[in-house]
Amino acid sequence: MLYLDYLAYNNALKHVSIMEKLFLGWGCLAVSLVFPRPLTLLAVIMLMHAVMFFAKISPRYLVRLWVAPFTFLIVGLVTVAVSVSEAPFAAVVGLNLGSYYIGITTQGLGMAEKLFLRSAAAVSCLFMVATTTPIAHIAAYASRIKGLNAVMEISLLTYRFIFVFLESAAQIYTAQQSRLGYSSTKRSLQSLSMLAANLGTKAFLTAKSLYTALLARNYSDKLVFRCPRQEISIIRLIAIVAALTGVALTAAL
Amino acid sequence: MQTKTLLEAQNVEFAYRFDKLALNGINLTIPAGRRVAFVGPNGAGKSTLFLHFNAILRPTSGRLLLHDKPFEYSRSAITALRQKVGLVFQDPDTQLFAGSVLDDVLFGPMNLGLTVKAAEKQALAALEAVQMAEFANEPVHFLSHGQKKRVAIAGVLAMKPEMLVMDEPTAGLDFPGMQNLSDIMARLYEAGTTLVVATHDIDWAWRWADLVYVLSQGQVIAGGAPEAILNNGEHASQGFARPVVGEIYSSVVLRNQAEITEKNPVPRTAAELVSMLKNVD
Repeated sequence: MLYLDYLAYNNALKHVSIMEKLFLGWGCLAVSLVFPRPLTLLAVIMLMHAVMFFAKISPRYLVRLWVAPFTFLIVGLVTVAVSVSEAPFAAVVGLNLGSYYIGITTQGLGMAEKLFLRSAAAVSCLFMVATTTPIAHIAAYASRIKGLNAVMEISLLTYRFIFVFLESAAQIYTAQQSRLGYSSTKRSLQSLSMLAANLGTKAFLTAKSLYTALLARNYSDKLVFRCPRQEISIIRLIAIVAALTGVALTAAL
Repeated sequence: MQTKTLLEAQNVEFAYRFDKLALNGINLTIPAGRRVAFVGPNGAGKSTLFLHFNAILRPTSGRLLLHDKPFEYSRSAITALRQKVGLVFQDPDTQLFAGSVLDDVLFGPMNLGLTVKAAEKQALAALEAVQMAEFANEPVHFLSHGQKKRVAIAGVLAMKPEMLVMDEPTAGLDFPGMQNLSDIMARLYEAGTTLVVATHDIDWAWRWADLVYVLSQGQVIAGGAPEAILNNGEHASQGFARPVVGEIYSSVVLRNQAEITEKNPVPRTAAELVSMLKNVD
C-alpha cells in the first residue's frame, strides 16, 4: 500500500497531467466494456502494461499487485467453467464421481475466457492509473466537478488516515507479538480482535483531535485540496486518442 | 516600561464532566511579546487551559480577556480570536490532513477569507520560516516526525497570529529538530510574537523562558520569573524537576552554601556554568 503510493508520486510519468492519465485509463475501460471482443480486450491489457512499462514500474512489483485479483479471477473462472450435474453432458474434459458428473463444457470455457479477459482488462486499467497517479491528485481533480466535493473530502481523509492507522496497527501488532500474542491460533484470533477494537477507538479519538485542530484554524466546512498544475501535451493527447481508436478498431477485426 | 497584557485569565473554571473541575480558578496574565512556559505534572490542566485561549472550550465560570476585552463567543469573534491566537497541538498526525504540505498550510489562511493567491503567499512564507518550503508539494505521510511538527507549526504561522501557543513542542524531537525549533522561536520572538509553551523539558524552559507558570491540579500554584520559580527548591512539591544547571551550580559552585541571590544568579545555559566551573578551584 505504501509502496503503491510511493510509486504514484515517483514514477517516470509523474509529470504527465492527471487529465491525460485519467482519460487514457477511463477511455480504455470504456472501450473494453463496449467492445468486449477477445482481441480488443487483449489489446487493452497490453496497452496498459506498455504504459506501466514506460512509467518504469518494477515488473516484480506488478506481479505482486496481480496476485490478489488473479486469485479472485481463478476462483471465479473455475465456478463459471466447471459444471456439475446428475445427468451426463457433453464436456471437453470431465469425470464421473459417484452419481455426479463434473466437467468443463465448451460454453463454460467460452464464458470463462470472456470473464477473464474482461476482468483482466478492467484491472489493468485500474493498475495503470493507480501506479501513475496519486489518489490525492485524482480526488483534487474530481472535486472540480460540482456536487462531488463532499465525496472527495471523505476519500481524501480516508486515504490520508490509512497511513496513520497502518502505522498504529503495525506498532500494536509488534507490541502484541512481543508478548506472545500470536503464539497460537486461538491467541492470534484474540489478539487480532483486540487490535481491531483498539484501532476503532483510536480512529474515533483521532477524528475528535483532528476536528479540534481544524477548529483552531477556523474550519468552517471546506477542506483544501488542489492538484499540481501540469501541462497538458497536445501531442500526447493525440497519441492517446489514436491509441484508443486503434484499440477500438481491433473489435472490427 | 510596562509591557501590555495580551491575554488574561480571571478565575477561570472548567469541568469536562459534572463532578471534577479540570481548571479550578485560574488567574494569570500573558504579557505581550514574552516567552512564557507552563510547567507542571500531566493532568494539571495545561492542555485544557490552552484550549481556552483560542475559544475551543468555554470556561464554566470566570472569563478570559484579549487586549483587556473579554472574550466573545460569537462566530465572527471566535474567527478573529483564532487568527490572533494560534494553537499547535502535540501530535502532528492529528493536525495534518491534506494531500500535500502546501495544501495543509493553505487551510488556515483560506479559512480567514484570503484569495488562493494571497493565501499561497502567506503559506509559502510560513513554510520558509520553518525551513520546509522545499517540501511544499510532497505528501504529508512521507515526512518524518520532526518535519511533520514543523509543517503543523507552519500551518498556524500562516495565519499570522499575535500569540503562538504550543503544546509540548519539543516532545519527540531529535537534536537537529530541537535546534530548528529554537531558531524558529527565536525569530518569532524577535518579530514580536508572544510565545506560550507547555513543556516537561525543564532544562529547555530554564534556557528559554522569561516567565514561568506552574500548574497543578487545575490551579496556578506559582508564577513569575524563572529564577524565582524553577530554582527555589519547591520543585518537588510542585511537580517538576530542577534544572540540571541549577543542581550543579548550587552544589558545586556555591560550595559555601551561599544563597542563590541576585549576586549569584544561576547560569542559564550549560556553557555559562562550565565557564563558571573553570573559575572555581
